[in-house]
Amino acid sequence: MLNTIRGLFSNDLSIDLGTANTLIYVRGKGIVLNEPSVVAIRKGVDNVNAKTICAVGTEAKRMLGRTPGHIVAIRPLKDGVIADFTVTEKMLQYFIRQVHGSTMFKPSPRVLVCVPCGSTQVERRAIRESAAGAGARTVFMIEEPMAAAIGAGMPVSEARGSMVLDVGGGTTEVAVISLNGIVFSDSVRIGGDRFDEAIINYVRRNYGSLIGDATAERVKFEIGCAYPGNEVREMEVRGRNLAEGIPRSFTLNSNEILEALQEPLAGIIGAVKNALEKTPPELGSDVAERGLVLTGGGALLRDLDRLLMEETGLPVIVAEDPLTCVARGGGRYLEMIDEYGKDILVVE
Amino acid sequence: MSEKMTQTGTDISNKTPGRLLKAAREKLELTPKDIAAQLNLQINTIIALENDDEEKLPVSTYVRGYIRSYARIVNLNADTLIKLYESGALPPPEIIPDVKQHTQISSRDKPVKAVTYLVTFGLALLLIAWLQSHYVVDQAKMAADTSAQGEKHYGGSLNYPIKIVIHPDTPFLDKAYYDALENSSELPLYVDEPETSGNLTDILDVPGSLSIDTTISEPANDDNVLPGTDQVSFIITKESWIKIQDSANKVMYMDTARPGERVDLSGEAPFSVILGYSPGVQVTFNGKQFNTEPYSIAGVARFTLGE
Repeated sequence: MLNTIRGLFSNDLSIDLGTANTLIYVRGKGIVLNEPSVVAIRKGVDNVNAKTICAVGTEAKRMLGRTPGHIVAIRPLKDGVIADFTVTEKMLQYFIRQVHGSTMFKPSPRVLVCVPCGSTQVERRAIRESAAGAGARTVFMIEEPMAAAIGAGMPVSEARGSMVLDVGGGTTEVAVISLNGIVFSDSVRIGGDRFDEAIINYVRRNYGSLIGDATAERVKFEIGCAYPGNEVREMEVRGRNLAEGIPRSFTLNSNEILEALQEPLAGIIGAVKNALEKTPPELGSDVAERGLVLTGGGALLRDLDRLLMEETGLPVIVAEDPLTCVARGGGRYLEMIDEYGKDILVVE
Repeated sequence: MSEKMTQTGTDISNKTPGRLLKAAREKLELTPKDIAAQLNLQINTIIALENDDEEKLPVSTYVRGYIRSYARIVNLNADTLIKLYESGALPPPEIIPDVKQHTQISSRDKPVKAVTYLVTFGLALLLIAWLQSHYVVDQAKMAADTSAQGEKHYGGSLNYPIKIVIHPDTPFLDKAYYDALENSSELPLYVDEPETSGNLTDILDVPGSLSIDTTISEPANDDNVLPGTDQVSFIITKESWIKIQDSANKVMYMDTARPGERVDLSGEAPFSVILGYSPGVQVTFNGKQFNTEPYSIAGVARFTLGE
C-alpha cells in the first residue's frame, strides 16, 4: 500500500544493461542515458584492497587501455552477464543516481532490467541483486529479444510469428515471438566484442601489428561490412609492429575487414538457421512472409541485413534506431505492466 | 542535376513512397518480380507497397524496412522516402513512445504530484488537529472528575452515580473531609449497623478495608421518595451478577457486585431480581431476610420480591 503511494512520486526506469553500453529509459521521458559499461577503479596507495571508483561511462571508456598502474578500467559485464558483481552494482548505482536525481523527496524507482535469454538462474539473480543493491525498489526482468521486439514496434501480441535478431555487444539473441511469449529463443556469445577481437587477430596475422580494442572498434564502425559491396572503403590505422616493436601505420580496406569478420558472422548465421529449424512450421511461414527484424548495435554493421537475406532467403529489415530498441521496449513493457498487470510476460 | 532535384522536389509534394518507388523501378526497367526476388518478399507485398495498400501490408515497422531495402535497390534516398511514409495519411508509428506526446494526465505529472503532496499534508494536519482537540477534551473531563469533591463516579454505563463511602478506620482517610461528612446530615453516610455488620464477611471487618456502598444518591430524588417505598438490600459474600428492576421495569441496578459490597436500593415493589450466583448474595427485603434457595437453579436465581 505504502509502496503504491510512493510509486506515484518515483519514475520507472528501464535499463538495458549491455556488455558494451548501458542505456536507461525513463518512463515518460525517453532515453536519458547511453553510456559505455566501463568503470575505472583507483587502487589505494597504502592499501591495495581499498578501491575507489575513479570514473564511470564515457570517461572511463577513454581510459580503457590507457591507464597507469594504480588505475584499472574494466568492463564489469562479459557476454551479457555480470563478471564483476560489486563493480556492476557501483556502476548501476552511479547511472541510476544520475538519471533519478535527488533521493530526498523521490523514493527509489521501479527498475526493469533486460537479461539475455541464455542467461542462467544464477546470472539473473546476480543482475537482480545488483539492481536492488543499486537502489531499485522493485526489480522486473525481461528477456532481451522480447524487449527488442517490443521496442522495434513488432506486433508481439498478435497470434503471428515475429522473429527478432538482437546483435549486442556480448551476445546475439534470436527469438521467435508470438502472443507476448517467446516460442523459441537462442543466444550465442558472439557480438560486437567478438567482431573487434576478430579484427585485432586479423591485423596481427596479416600485418604483424598489434592494435588496441578502441582502434579495432573504430575500424569496425568506419569500414566494417558484412557483405561485399560495390565500393571499397579504406582507412589508415596505427599499431605496434610486433617484429620491430615500433608503432607503424598501415591501410586497411573494407574487403579485408569482411574477411576478418567471416568467423563471427558465420556464428550468427548459424544461430539464425538453427532457430528457423526449430521454429514450428506455422510460425516459420509467418516469419518467411514478413521477415526477420534486426536490432542491437550489431545491426549497424553495414550490409548485415543483406548477408542474412542472402543466407536465409528471408526478408530482413533493420529496425529504426536499433541501438535503443531494447531500452525502449523495456519502457513500453513497464507501461504494459501497468495496463495489463505484471503477469503478462514474467521472467523469473 | 539541379533539374533532377527540382523534379524530385515536386514529386515529393504530390507523391507517395509507393509511387516514387514504382517510378524508379520502371526507370531501371525492372519488374516487381525482380524486386521480390532480391528482397525475398512476395510479389503481392511489392505490389501492395507500390500501391500504398495499407491493408495488405504488415505493421509499419516492417513496411519501413521494406521501403529501405527497396530504395537501396532502385538507388533512391531511403530517409526521404521514410519521412514521406511517416508524414503520409498513416497514423504515427507506435514504435517510438519516447517521442510520442503524452496527452493523458499521468500521476507523474508535476501538477498532479503537487496536488497529491498538498492533499496528503492537509490530511495529516487535520488528523493532528483532531487528535489534539480530543486530547484536550479528555484532560478537561478528567480535571472536572477529580474536582468533584472526591466523589468518584463509577460505572459509565449506569445512568446514576455510585458513591464510595470510606470506612472511618481507613488509615488514609482525610480527617477534615470525614468530619465534614459526619456533620452534614444531607449526605448519606453508611456506618456499619450492628445487625448488618454481623452479616458482613471477614474482609469487611478488617480495619482499613473499604466498604463500598452503592446507592441511588441523587438528593433531589431522595426528597421524592414516598413513605412506604420498598427497601431491598444485597450483601454480597461471593462475586455475583445482580440485576434488579422495579415495578415500572426500570433497571435499578445491573452490575457485577464484588464480595464485601453492600447494595441498598429503594423503589416501588414488586422488584424482579436476577442473581448470577445466589448462594453468594444475602437478600433483605423491607428488613426481612429473603431465602433465594427455592428459586436457585444451578446458582442462578430469578424471583420477584413483594408481589
